[in-house]
Amino acid sequence: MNIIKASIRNAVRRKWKFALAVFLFGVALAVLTNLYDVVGAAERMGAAFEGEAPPSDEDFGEVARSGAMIALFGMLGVFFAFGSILFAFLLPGGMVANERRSTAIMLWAQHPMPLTSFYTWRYLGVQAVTLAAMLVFGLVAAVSVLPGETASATGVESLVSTCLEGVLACAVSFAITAHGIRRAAFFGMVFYLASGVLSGVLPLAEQSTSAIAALARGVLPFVLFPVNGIDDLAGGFAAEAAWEWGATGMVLYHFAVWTAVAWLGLRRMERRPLKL
Amino acid sequence: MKTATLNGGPAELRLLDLDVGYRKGRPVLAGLSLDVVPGEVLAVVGPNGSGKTTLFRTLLGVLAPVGGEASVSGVAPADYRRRHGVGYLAEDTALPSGWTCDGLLTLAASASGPDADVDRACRLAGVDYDTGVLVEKLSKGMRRRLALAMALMRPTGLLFLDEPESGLDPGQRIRLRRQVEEIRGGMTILVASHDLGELAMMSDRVLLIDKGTGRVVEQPEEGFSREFLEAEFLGLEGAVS
Repeated sequence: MNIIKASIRNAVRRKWKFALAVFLFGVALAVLTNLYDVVGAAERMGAAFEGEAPPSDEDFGEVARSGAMIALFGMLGVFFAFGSILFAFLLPGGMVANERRSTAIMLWAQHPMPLTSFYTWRYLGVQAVTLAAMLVFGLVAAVSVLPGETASATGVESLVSTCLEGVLACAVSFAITAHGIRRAAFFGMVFYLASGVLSGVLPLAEQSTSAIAALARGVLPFVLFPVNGIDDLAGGFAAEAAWEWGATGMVLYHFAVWTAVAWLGLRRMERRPLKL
Repeated sequence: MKTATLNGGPAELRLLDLDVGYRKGRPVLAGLSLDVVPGEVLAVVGPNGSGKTTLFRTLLGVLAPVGGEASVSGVAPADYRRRHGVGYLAEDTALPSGWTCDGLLTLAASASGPDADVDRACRLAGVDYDTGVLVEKLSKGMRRRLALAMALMRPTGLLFLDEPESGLDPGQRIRLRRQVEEIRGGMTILVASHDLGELAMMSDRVLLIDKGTGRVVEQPEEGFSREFLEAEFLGLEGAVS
């Protein structure tokens, strides 16, 4: 338990400023969403150019004001979302890889606790901090949800998907560092962003009948960071929504895969603690 | 002062015609034979690449011999490590940044089991500074002492110090030697170092190792001196390459 506590204390001390910055972006986003009619502003911007008459100076003024607010809304949204997920990737980053040449080998030599257990406890501590932070970020995200039909998710869905994405991101980052790769957070983030892009174009493949498209449809969901799967799973928390068992299975599968990848890395280090 | 009761007592090392290598047919250590009695401080001296660290890795159980035998207190090095644990101060003390000394000591103590004694380890290693600070804010000597405390966290019968004086100023080297004096006798200590003066003052015997083979130099009646060890070292084939 001391290892978990020490790990939690260290993670909080290292990253509380980053977490606070992300939180403040989220709070600003929530304030803006609740005090300003973002949806109305977007509608007014569109309406200003819809009439046959050329836009008046008043229309231009309205467009400028609404545009600035929407830009601010978008910027805060991006910073908050990006910061939340980056936080989760950063927390375990380098935990194993940076210690492999000294701390790990010294503790390995003393032996009583195998390195697999030692780093698993450390990981649990970091994961606890990630979950706590994601719960806070998720609550902020829930408060920031746009009203009405414009929203892509309800507050509860936002909370659940933020938590799941963060916890899985932490697992991915830990799995990478467990194999001795130093820039785990960077590679994790690249994987996450690439997965987001590919998940976005995946629906296009559904219209194609080519063999490659069929292969992409079948394989990619098992390989990419399950952004869509997490959203579908979170959708099950919405009122009157059917529970998405397929999405649940997919998310659990990804947790299992990344945990297994991490475990293999730790086992490898246990057998060969020094890079020889 | 002798250390507290240890796991299994000071270790006895025995190497018999030991061959160790990283690649087939290219041994780093070839036909090395050596006996180290319990409680002895053995200095391991040799040019860079002579096989000092390889010897430590073999005795830690990281590397398996390709020929001959290596045993620690009658069992294979890996088995000894699993049963009793081994203190090891790595040559490269790149302690993880972002941790306080307290945090790292807590981690090391937690991983070292119920025998761990933070106070004893800090006292023996000379960690007498504020341990609430971040590791990256420590001087190299302070970091080295912190690493030594981590290596001494669990009382063991065998301690490897791989270039412990690396990066230490003269005062810190003297202090380190005194710390070795304090723990000697209670555990068997192998020290690899290039500082012949310090080794002369702390060692019972010296293993001169060069190109995979080794020769033990017994202490003369008047004791080791820097000049004596320099003369022995310069006699090595690879010493002035």
